[in-house]
Amino acid sequence: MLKDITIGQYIKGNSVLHRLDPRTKIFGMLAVMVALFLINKWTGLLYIGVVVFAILFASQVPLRFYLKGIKPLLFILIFTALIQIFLTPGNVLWQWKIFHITAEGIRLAVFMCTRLILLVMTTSVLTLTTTPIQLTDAVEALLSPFKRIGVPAHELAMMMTIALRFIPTLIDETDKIMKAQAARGASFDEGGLIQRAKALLPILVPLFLNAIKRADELAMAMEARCYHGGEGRTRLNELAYKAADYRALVVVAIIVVIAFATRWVAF
Amino acid sequence: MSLELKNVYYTYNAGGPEETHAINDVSFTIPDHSFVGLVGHTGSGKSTLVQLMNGLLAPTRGEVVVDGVNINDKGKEVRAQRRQVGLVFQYPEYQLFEETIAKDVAFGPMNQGLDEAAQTERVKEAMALVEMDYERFKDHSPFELSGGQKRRVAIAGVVAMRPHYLILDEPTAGLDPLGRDRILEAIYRLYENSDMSIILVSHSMDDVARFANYMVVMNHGQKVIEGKTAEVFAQAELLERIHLGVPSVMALLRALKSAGMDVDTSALTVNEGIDIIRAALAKRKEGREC
Amino acid sequence: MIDVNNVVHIYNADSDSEILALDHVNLHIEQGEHIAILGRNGCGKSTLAKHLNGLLLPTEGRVSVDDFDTLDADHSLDILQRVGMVFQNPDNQLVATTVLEEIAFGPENLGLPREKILERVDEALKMVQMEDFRNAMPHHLSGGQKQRIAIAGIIAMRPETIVFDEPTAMLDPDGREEVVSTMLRLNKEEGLTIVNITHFMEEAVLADRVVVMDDGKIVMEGTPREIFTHVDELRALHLDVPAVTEIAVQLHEEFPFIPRDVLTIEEMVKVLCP
Repeated sequence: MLKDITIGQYIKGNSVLHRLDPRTKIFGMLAVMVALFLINKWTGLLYIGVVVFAILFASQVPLRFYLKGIKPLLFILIFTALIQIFLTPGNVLWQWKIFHITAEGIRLAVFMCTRLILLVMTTSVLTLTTTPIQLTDAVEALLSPFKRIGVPAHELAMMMTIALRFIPTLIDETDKIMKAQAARGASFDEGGLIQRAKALLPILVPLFLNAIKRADELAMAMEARCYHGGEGRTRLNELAYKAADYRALVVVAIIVVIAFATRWVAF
Repeated sequence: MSLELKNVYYTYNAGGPEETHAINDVSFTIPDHSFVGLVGHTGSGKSTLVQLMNGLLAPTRGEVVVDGVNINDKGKEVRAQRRQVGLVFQYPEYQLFEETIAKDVAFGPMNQGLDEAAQTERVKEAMALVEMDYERFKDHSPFELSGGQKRRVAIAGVVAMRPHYLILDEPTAGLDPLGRDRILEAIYRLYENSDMSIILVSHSMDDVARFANYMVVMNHGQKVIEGKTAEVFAQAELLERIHLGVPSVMALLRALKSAGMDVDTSALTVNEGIDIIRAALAKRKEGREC
Repeated sequence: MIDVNNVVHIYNADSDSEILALDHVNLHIEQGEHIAILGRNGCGKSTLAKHLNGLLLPTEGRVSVDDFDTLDADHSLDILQRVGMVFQNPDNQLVATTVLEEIAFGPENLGLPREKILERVDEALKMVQMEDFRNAMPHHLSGGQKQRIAIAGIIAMRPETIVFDEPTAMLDPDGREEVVSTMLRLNKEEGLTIVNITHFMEEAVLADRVVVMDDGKIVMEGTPREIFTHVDELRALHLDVPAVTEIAVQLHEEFPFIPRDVLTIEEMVKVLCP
């Protein structure tokens, strides 16, 4: 059923990574990404591969969830690989009419694809070990220094929270409205593009009208619970860096430095 | 002419980790032109059942037979046969979407492929049946109406497809007593003035006792009992055991009887209840039991 | 203590679509009372409810909560903290993705420190008997459970009064029972003032006092026993009467030993089979 789709991809757990401050994880993710683009040698790739897999292992999330994250990218991966394999000039290994494969091409394809896969896995570490709410908190905290120049950090975070809260409700409702219209003989998978788009109206109109009503009622319910913006508000989950976070940030810094250093190795 | 379920099973997420057997070997026959009360707790399988009855869901096993046709067979006629079973969901007013009431009610007939003249005829007929004045309301926006009126327009939208069976899933949910009575009375007159069978899904034993002449009782995905309303309520212990209870007048008479008063406990309405208690009190004046 | 003094409320004032929703309403609510407000849709009962915590302000007259006037904007937060409100649609009043965060929302708005918030969350969960659901996601709960979480969210702000605006209208009988018994327990055990706006007479019967509204006015007021014996008047207002009471009122003519104000089956059994 539509209703059972989980919000985000968070997998419950209590690993070191689950316990880290979400901000640390965001910094860490960005740093490993930088490292991934700094490397230009096979040694570097091997090194960063080991690092990424060590992190995956530390997250205690089963590998299949990481593989699931790669699946949607399969097309891009194959496309990248083909372009590299066929369009890189160099030592021709095989040729048929205008198509040729070069040793450099294969090497580049492997390098690029491995890099992309590692990149996706790195971002998955963040989304698999961090609840959407923690991410929201992190966004609010990271943006709050910019409040002075008019960035509405609290409001943005509150909007994200409410959106997250209402996604399952709206999915549920879409399901109900679709069934109700189907019971009136509507079909959503017949005819051309325009006809299909038109067939969506009986779903979208009620969905929007009801969403507006929901927003209205929610605003009133929030006001009734003394909500008056971010001013003077405390947080249940006040983010605070702990010793583990500082250690993690040091480790991340070392990872980047070593990655940078691999540019000077021979191979 | 009947709507029949033959050994129907339905499983959600079959084979998955969250497999749920929503319907387990359910069979019943809805007699022609009857007003059926379909009762059971939340989670008893009622909602799944009504979707099976009009083909929105296909049974995992078993057959749903509408006037002799298995509605899950293949073919165009079979598809048309599903339209013999109209389904009005809970809070149906949330499916309204057109600019005018007439257009909204015409949505179903339009999907059936009728031409405009035939659509208009159906709209007029359906609005008359739910007791909404066609001339007065046809060009109004459905969103200007009161809650109870919106709901009647939504019901008209299904009635306009001329189903032979009309299922209403808790049509009174969220209405006040006035709105509730108006809807139920309109549905009852709709039943009287057509050859339609009505299947009313309800939590209220009082409402079912008032209108239904046949009942199907569900519990934990299984049919507990079916039969004429009076026969089903005669099994009061059974209904109380599955926490559905009985109509309030019957509950009172049963309490009096178990306290030792000699009363007939089959009454369903207030007036019947008064007569029975009056008779018992008169008898007591002479004899003095209780 | 809430005092509603001669309140008039007009929606869309000074336009063509003016609606007189409250017409000189007077109501005094004592601390610890359990009041039910009955009336059909559009009678003004929801409008009145929203005046009790200042979500709506009177066009004329005044509403005071303890010593604060709802028109005094400086104290609007004090009033909202004292008078909590539970709404009809359980889905449209929950803000957060977990029960814990949901209940913490009010205390967070009050600016309480973290330890205090956690203390209040646990206390509130206990009061609605949902300790096991601390980390659950609201969208996995039943309607009745969602409403109890909404109630817990209010309790965590330590209010004096909770106004329930048709809290059971969208629930099944089990959910209704859960909410009503929670409501009664909060009134009896915690001494909270309860104002329950409803059109279910089964709920009104449980109150200390019933206020019946029609057309923006209070038309009847009294104990459930006094109110429900007026079978014909209630019918004229399109309200339900318990079947037992209706039977008692009719039988009273012939059998004067049956009182007119029988409200429950148990009472009727006591009268007829002593």
